[in-house]
Amino acid sequence: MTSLASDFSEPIPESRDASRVVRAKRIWRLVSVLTRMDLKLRYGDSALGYIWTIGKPMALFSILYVVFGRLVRFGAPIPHYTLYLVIGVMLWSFFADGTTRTMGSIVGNGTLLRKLPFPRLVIPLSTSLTAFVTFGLSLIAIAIFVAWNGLVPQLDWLVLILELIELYLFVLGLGLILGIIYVRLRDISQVWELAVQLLFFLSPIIYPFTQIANTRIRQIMLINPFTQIMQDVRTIIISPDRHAMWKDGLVAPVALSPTRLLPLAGVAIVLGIGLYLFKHEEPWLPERV
Amino acid sequence: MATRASLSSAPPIASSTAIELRGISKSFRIPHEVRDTVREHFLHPLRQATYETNDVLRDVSFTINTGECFGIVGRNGCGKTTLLKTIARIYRPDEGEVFVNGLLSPFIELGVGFNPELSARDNIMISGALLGLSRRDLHDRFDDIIAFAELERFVDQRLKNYSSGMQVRLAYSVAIQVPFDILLVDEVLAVGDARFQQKCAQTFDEFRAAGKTVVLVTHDPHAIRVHCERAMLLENGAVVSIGSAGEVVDRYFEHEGISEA
Repeated sequence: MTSLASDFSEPIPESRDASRVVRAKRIWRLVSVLTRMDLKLRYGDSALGYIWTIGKPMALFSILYVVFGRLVRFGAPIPHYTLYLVIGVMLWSFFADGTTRTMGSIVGNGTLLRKLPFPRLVIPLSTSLTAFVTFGLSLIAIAIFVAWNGLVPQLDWLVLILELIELYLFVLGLGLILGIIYVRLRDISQVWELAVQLLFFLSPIIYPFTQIANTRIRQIMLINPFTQIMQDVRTIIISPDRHAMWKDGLVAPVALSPTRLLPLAGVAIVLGIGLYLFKHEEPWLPERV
Repeated sequence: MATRASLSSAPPIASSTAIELRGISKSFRIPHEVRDTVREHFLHPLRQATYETNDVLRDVSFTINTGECFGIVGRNGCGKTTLLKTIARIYRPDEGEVFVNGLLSPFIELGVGFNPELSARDNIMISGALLGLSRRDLHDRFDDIIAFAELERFVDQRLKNYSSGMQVRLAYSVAIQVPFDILLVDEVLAVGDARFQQKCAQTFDEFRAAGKTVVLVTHDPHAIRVHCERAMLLENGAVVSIGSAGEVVDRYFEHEGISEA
């Protein structure tokens, strides 16, 4: 026996067994099915399929490399500039793709929301995971560049997993916030498109971090979790002598220094706001999308 | 706002009751001027968004017994689908409480939310999972779902190539293969061909024989007479009449000023 008025988030088949484990299992099953189907939808039609996932950011990378690596020579002071650039472009591409798709996922699945009761969170979760899986494939491109630059993976590269999870959670949090706003205010997609472009230039994707002469500004830039994560990933992969490079200001501190905690807290806050907003709006989504 | 009083785990309704609604009201806001872009907010920052409230359900209370087939009739726009969605927990009522005793399978607005770009096989995977089927159950029931819908030849075709009748057949087929105690059916009889209508009608009788509860929304008064024990007439979101299926259908005709053909 359940009362419907009291708990809307509870999926119906679980009404007999409200245990958390059962719920979590059900949500995981839904997310995995929806993610698989989402991937199928995204690549089922195209002949080259997954190649496009790597192809698009690689094309962007190639252009940027020719312009800023060869012509303008932004990358001169940076060791392994190709790798530096490809990491930046790939991470930014995931950020742009993940937040944009998650933003549209709630409205895009309006029909489903209006016809079936189920835990609504599985929609943004599976959409953001689809983007993350897609991004995982583009890591192959990064791996190729690592090999090409003659770098050998170290044990501490395992920290990269944590960095990528942090980036995913940041994307999910932003996607949830944007997705809820998008339900009421469709213009947010235009605004976000611009913001993502702005981020491309406000974070050191093509230029060396040291080009920003003012250390204060550099510190402020690193509060943005995206910038911090990107710099961490570069530091871990590229820098043979991390400490020296950090002192040179080429890369960012990876260790859990007080400054590193700021962007981490930022991710937690963004995700917290996203989940809170979603929980708050969840019961009204079917009639508003 | 729904009261929280019903949070207690003790059954607030008798076990012989499948669904009980107490004082359910639901209204939707319909803005006079759609203001969902920033530009409009900027252009008229001081103007209050005006809207009218459309009361779709007004103080609806009724009880459906376990194992009965309960019909709901009424004109287009009288609140039938909103009522089903409120029972299915898709909409949250503004006031009142809904109690549901058992697992529920909803078949609302002719479907379970298929994606036209995916094949029937993939859509069954999605809807089945969303309706609560485990991977194994889904595997076991897959053939039955396809067989009932009679779509064996088209399993791997995309749904956009299906006729609307075929889609509805598939959706209904999924909805009834989910383990359920209560089935909500919204107008399935209106779309399928005669053969499928008959098949659906048969399932209603089978479910009743199996002790399952069926809530049937239809514009076919004949079907209500044949399948339902009791029925309810809705008008402008309010219950006008509730009683034996025959009486309610008579009342419906009387209300509409038409005579039964």
